[in-house]
Amino acid sequence: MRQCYFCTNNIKEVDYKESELLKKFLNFQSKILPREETNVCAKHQRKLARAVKRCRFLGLIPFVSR
Amino acid sequence: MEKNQNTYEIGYLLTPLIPEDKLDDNVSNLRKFIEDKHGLILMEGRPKAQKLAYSIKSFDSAHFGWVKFMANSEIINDISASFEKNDNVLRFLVIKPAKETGVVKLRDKKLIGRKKIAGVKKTEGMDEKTGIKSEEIDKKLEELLGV
Repeated sequence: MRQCYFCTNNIKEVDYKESELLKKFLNFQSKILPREETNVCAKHQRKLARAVKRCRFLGLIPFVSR
Repeated sequence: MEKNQNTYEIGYLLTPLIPEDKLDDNVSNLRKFIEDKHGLILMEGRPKAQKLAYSIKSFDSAHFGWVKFMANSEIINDISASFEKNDNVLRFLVIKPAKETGVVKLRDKKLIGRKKIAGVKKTEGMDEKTGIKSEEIDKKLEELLGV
C-alpha cells in the first residue's frame, strides 16, 4: 500500500497556489480523485479538496475539462 | 499583540493590460489598502503572468500575486471592499491560513507523559511517588506492631 504523498514529503498544509501539484490529483475531467486513487490520508485529502476549490476559484485550474 | 488579530492571506488576479514595469505601482496600491487599515504585512508574492484555466471578465491570462498579513478581524471586510473597488483586480480570495505554531495535540501530550526523564534512575523496590523503599516500610510496620 502506498503512503500519503503529503505525509511522506512532510507537507503539513496543502497550498492553493501550487496549481501544478494539485493537477496531479485531478482526473481528465478535472474532478478531484477519490482517496482510493490518490492514496492520500484522510486529513490531507480534506485539505487537498479545499486547496483545489480555492485554486479553481482563482482560475489557476479548471472546474471542468474534456 | 492586540486581541482579534488574525493572519489572513489574499490571493489576487490583476488585469493583463498592466505593463510589467507598472506592476509594482499597482502592488504598492494594494499594500496601501492594508497598511491604511493598520494591517501588518508578513509575506508577499510578486505578481507573475499566469494563463487562466477559464476566462475571467473576458481575459484569458492575468498576473497572479498574493499577500499574507496580520490584521484585526473587524477591518477585514473593509480591506476586501477596497480590493473589490479596484478596477485592476479581476478576482481575489481572502483566506485564513492554518496556524503554523500548532497547540500540542492530546496524542502528543500522552506521549510526553510517558517519556522517561533522563538522569533519574528507578531503583528496584522503590515506590514511584514517594521514593521510599518497600523494605523500609516493612521495618517500620514491624516496629509499630511490636513483632
